[in-house]
Parts: sequence; C-alpha cells; structure tokens
Amino acid sequence: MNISDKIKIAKQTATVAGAFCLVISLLLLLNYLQMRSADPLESEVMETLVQRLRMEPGNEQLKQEIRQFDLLARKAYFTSLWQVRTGGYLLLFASIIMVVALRVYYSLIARIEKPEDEEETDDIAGRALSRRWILAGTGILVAIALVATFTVSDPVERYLAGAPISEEVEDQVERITITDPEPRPAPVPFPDDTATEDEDRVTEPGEEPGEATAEHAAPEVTPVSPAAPAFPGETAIRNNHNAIRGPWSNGVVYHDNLPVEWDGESGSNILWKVPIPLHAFSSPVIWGDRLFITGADADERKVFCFDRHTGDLLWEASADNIPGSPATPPRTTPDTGLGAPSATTDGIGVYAIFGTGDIIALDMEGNRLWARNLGVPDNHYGHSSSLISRGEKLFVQYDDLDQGRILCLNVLTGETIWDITRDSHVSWASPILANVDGSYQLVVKGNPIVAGYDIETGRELWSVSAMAGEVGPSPAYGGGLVFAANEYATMVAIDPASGNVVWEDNYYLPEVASPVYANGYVFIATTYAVVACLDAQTGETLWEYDTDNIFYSSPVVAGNRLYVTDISGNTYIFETGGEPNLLAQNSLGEEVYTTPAFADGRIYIRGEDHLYCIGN
Amino acid sequence: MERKKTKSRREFISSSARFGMVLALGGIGGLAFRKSTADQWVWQIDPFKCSWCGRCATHCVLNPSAVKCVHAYELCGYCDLCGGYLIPGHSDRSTAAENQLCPTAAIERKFIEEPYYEYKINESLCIGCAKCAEGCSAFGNGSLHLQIMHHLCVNCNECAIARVCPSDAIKRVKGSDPYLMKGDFTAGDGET
Ligand code: SF4
Ligand code: SF4
Ligand code: SF4
Repeated sequence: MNISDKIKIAKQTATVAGAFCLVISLLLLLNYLQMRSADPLESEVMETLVQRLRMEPGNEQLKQEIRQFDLLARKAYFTSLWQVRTGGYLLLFASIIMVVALRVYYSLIARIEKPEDEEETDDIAGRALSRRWILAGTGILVAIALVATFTVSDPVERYLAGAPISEEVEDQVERITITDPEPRPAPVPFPDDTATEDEDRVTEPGEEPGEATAEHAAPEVTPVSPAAPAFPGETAIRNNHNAIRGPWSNGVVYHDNLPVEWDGESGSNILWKVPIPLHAFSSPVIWGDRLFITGADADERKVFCFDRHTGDLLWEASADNIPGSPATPPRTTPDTGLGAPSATTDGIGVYAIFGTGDIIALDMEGNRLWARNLGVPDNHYGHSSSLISRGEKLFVQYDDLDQGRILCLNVLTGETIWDITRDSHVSWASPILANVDGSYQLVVKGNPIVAGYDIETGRELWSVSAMAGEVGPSPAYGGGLVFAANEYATMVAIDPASGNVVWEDNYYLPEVASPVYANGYVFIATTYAVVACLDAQTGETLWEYDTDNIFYSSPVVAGNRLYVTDISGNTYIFETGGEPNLLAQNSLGEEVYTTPAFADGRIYIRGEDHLYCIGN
Repeated sequence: MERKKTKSRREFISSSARFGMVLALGGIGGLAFRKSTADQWVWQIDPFKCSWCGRCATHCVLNPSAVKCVHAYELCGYCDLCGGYLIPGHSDRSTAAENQLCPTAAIERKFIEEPYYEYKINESLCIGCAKCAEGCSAFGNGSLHLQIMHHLCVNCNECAIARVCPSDAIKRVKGSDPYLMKGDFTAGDGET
C-alpha cells in the first residue's frame, strides 16, 4: 500500500467518523429537546386519567387505560435514558476514531515531498485554517451534544406558572364584561347591634403594636377618614357568610328556608347560573346583597362582586401594581393555583389574598382601600389559607416552607398590628375564630401544632402538637372544644381553655375538607368518599356513610342539617343526629372543590366553571 | 373505604422480618462507601430538612439523578396503607399502576403477613423525585427518604441541587460518614 492509499483511507475514515459524530449529535439533541418539551413521567394525560379515576373509582376500562399509558410512559422514559447513554458512548468512540484518523492523515501528508516554497506557505496556512474550522465546528457540536446528554429535563419548570388549570378551561370561560354598572347606594349601615355590643366597636388603631416585625415590606397606605366606621357585631356576622365556611369560618350558618332539593341539569331550584370570569379554587363569601369571589392566573388576580339576587356582575377589581409584588408569580400546582384562599368581608371592605403574597382591601364598590405584598410565600403547591377578620383586625395564616407565621393587619390601613413566627411548617389550612368563655381566640392548625392565639397580641395561649403531613383541613369549634383532624395524622378534641387534649381518634380522617360541629356531634368528610359522624365529647364513631365520590368541599351545618358536596358536585344533606339520615342527594352537574355560601333561603355554589344560586 | 391501622402498626416492629430488613440497610451503606474517601467532604441531604420539592430529580448534573430514595426499615410501619407507595385517593390497595405513586414503579411491595407489607426500592429505577418520601412523611415517620448515593455522585464542587434546594437540605458531610440516614441520624445530629 503506497502512501497515497494510506492518505485516502485515513481521510475516508475521518470523514465517516465525522459524519457519524454529526448524526449522533443531532439525534442526542433531538432526544434532549423532546424530553424537555414532554417528560413522559410528568405527563398531563396521566394526571387527567388519574383524576378521572378518582371520580369514577370503579371504571375498569379507565384502569386499563392508565396501566397501558403508565407502561408506555415508563418505556419512553427509560428508552430515552438508554438512548442518551448509548449515544454518549458512541459519540465518544466515533470522536476518538475521527481524531486518530485525522492525526494519521496529517502526518502522512506531511511526509509527502514538499512543493515549492511559496505554495507551501499558502497551503500550510490554508490547511491549518480549515483544520481549525473543522475541529472547532465538530467540537462545538459534540460539546452541545455532551451537555445535552448529561443535562436533565426539568418537569418542575413546567409547573404552570400560577395558571390554576389548563388553558382550555380558561378558553371555555365565557367572560363577562361589565357594561356600565348601575351606581350603587352607599354601603348599608349595620342595622342590628353595633350600638349594643361594645366589644365589636372599633378600638383605637395601633393600640397593640404587638411583635410587629419591621423587615416586611411597608404597606401602601391610603389615608383613612378619621371617623373609623363601626364594625359589624355578632348578629351582623351571624346573618352573613363573611368568610369561607360562614361566620367565624366555623362551618355553621344561621339561616332558614334553605333548599333541600335541586338539580343542575334540569335547572330545578337553580335560580341563576353565571359563568365564572376567572378560575380559582376560592369559595364565595357574602355580605348583604353582594357576593364576592376571587380569580387568578399567571397574568391577573381579581376580585369579583355579584348581585346575589340576580347573578349580575357588579364590579371587578384587579390586584395589580402592588409594590413588592413579584414580576413572575411563584410556581404553583394546577390543583391549587394562585387564587386558592377565599376572601373575607365585613360589610365595610372586602379583603383578598393571592398566591403571590399580594393582599388587597377594597370597599364595597370595588375601590381600592390599600394593598401590599406580604412577601412571596414559598409554598410548593401554592398559598391557600383563607382570610378572616374581626373588628379592625384581619388575620393571615402565612405558614410557608420558610417559616410558620401569622400576621394581623389593620383592615382600614393594611398596617401590621402584630406579626408572629411560630413552630409550624408549611400548611394549607385557614384560621377560625372561637369564642372561648366570652373572648375570641384565633385557632390555627398547622404542622405539627394546633394552637390558640390571643387576637390582641398574637400571644400563643395554648398549643398541641398533634398534626403531621400536609395540613389542609381547618379546625372547628363547638361544644367548648376545638376539633382538628388531618389525614395520615389523627383527630384531636382540645379544650381551648386549658389546651388539654380531651380525646383522640384516627379512624376516619379528612385530607382537605374541614370538620364541623353541631348539636353534640362532629362531622367529617374524607377523600375516600366517607362522611362520618363522631360523638363530640367522646370521639366515638357513631355512623359512617359511603358516598360515590371524594370530598374537598367542607361540610356546612344549617339548623339540624348538614350540607356536604363531593367533587363531582353531588350535595348530600344529612340530619345532624346520631343516626345516618340522608334527607336528599342533589346533583349540580359540575365539579365542585369549593365550600358553598349560604344566605337566607339561598345556597351559592362555585363550580369549576359556573356560579350557582339555589333556592326554592 | 379505607380505615387506618395505625393503632397496631408499631407492634410489628419487633417481628423477625424487621431484623432482616435492618441487615439489608447495612448492605446499602457498605456499597455506598465505594467512592467516598475518609478525608473528603461530600454532599448529602439532611432528610429532616428535605421538603420533597422534586428538584433532586431534575437538577443533578447526572441523568438520572445521583439522589435516590432509601428506606429506613427500622422506622417503617410495614403498613398496608402506605402513603409512600399508594397514590392519594387510590381505588384499591394493590400493585396496579393506577394505584402507585412512584412514576417509575421503583418501589416493590411485597406481602409479609396480614396486614404487613414490605417496601423495597429498586435503585436502578429510582429517579429521586421524592414523591414517595413526601407520601411516607405525610403518613407518619418518613422512613422513605432521599440520599445522595456516593457510588453515583461525582461530588461536584458545588452540588447543582444544593443551589436550588428550597429547604437548604443539602450540606457537606465528611467522606468517612457520607450518609445521613434516618434511623442512624435524628434531626439536629451532626449540624455543622
Ligand atoms: S432539592 Fe432539597 S427539598 Fe427538594 S427534594 Fe432535594 S433535598 Fe428535598
Ligand atoms: S417515588 Fe421517586 S424517589 Fe420514590 S422510589 Fe419512586 S422515583 Fe424514587
Ligand atoms: S454533587 Fe453533583 S452529582 Fe452529586 S448530587 Fe449534587 S449535582 Fe448530583
């Protein structure tokens, strides 16, 4: 074999190895891009199928589908890993061959008789240049491919940036535009008891600065008129549904003539139904004739006010331009989103908080009173604790991954009255107010503590370490006891006067829905489709009722009836007694994750896409 | 309908099956020593700080991640209803795909005796996503937890996961004692 044959072979080998490197690099890049755009292990299809199975636990065909899809997804994932690994080795191998072949090629060429001087200089310079280009080009490609080989796809990145649910839902929502809302009368003064209940009057602002910390962003304060309004008294609160789960967020409402039967499909007893302008998992709250809900996605956070008699949208207000609000909302999961906390109202204002940490106060006409950002909550699902107020105090349970924390803000100015950190991990429960021996305590459930706080100073009055895991359900208060329960933990009944645990049980435990007390019984609704009744004094399970679906919506007691709605929109109405007595089961025909609001003769349910008013 | 068996769960701890599991745990430790040397500092996860955010699966420079789930058998309740194995709201307590929480089916569930089940991690399938650890911690003692496996970890100058860990759970530990396994270690131990 002469030298030119050798040169030819070396050149061909280098070319083939080079082409091989190129193809492998491209394939690796393709694989990388594919994995990045659709990680089979985090597939939304799978999520949807699993969600559907929760709603139809007996659907065998669906189970088969899930199994097949799961197999495919895992195959796709592991095949891709195998491809990346094998591709990486092949690339390395081919690169070595190419480099060796090039080396041989150039050393052989150097051995060939030298041409004339001037040509030689040109030729060598040209060759050196092209060699550099070839090497640089190949090097870059190989480097990119190698980086891709060892870089991972990032499903966490694909958490919807705050968008609570897939875009299709957003598309389906028929947006209501406000066309010149009629001028509303001034807020109705509270007719009932402001004159008789001294304890409900406004106290001097700033009288108890408590342990307010200075490190949090200063509120954007709108000056308040010097004459502070009279805050609602017990009767006014009782007559309204001012917070999630009703007055004092306790799951008990005080209304009569409530409907017992309805049907979403035929429209029977459905007085009106309107589309929800912006999706969220927050529940409706009511003051007087007005009903408020919030909505949120990655682009906007809003409060909507409806006329509760007609379903007309009276106004909407955006929580925007708030100092300290993050430019990019924090990541949340689709089942929580940025609008999970429910608003609260006291007839003077409506107060709403979002997963961005933005908290906003609006008057009853939708004008902004104040707004501030409490610091973006570090919460891997999304902040979901609802608000509650009493007098001039607005309470915010703000437990995140960083720190357990409760804030008390002035409803009129947004200023911090007190701000405490506490021994609790991230949680998703909401605080309640419990009237213990004539004075109110803020009862808050977290992980692991259930605790009572002095509403004036934020001082911890008692604390019981009993919870574990992801704490979703809020506490309940009744019969002199605080009830706190969590799936994977336990249920405890605590005497809030002493902080002693009266009983503990872990037979039935809720995961999302909060317990409720009525007439000596405690009721819980679980995520394994059981409604259970316990003796409030002993914790003994008195009855259980298997339903068709799981419960996220919290049960609410009205008189001697318990209303509880499962996620497919069936509301079960039980008698609140020691025997399981199902009075009615009504279908709404739409998924429900929120807790209904009640008013005299009316029930308001926020479904996934529509707001319903139910009445006789 | 599901009912909890927490009242009797812990009684099982003294059974002979548990003893076998503790031996198996020793096996993991031995294997893992292969790469770290005594005078080196290596990265490790403090399982009591981990908040199961999932970034361990996605941010390691290796694919799949050097982080794997390990099981502290001596803590495990051998529950039939395992929050680490079963998806919340599962339709049945079985090994069917629709009931499994692990996206790669890396956890093997084996019946021992009524009502106890053994859960074993297949390390080659685990991607370190922490879903099981989260579920297990929610249920009780968090015997399933994450660790950086030192026969895989390349001991980057700065661990790529440590940079994004929301809980500051990843720290340097001595190469002579490179694991912070639950059971051998309780919250607060070995703080530096
Ligand atoms: S990044 Fe931190 S919190 Fe997240 S799974 Fe890993 S160790 Fe746990
Ligand atoms: S759930 Fe995630 S961390 Fe647990 S075994 Fe499976 S892949 Fe590993
Ligand atoms: S040190 Fe490097 S290889 Fe090890 S776990 Fe961290 S990122 Fe992965």
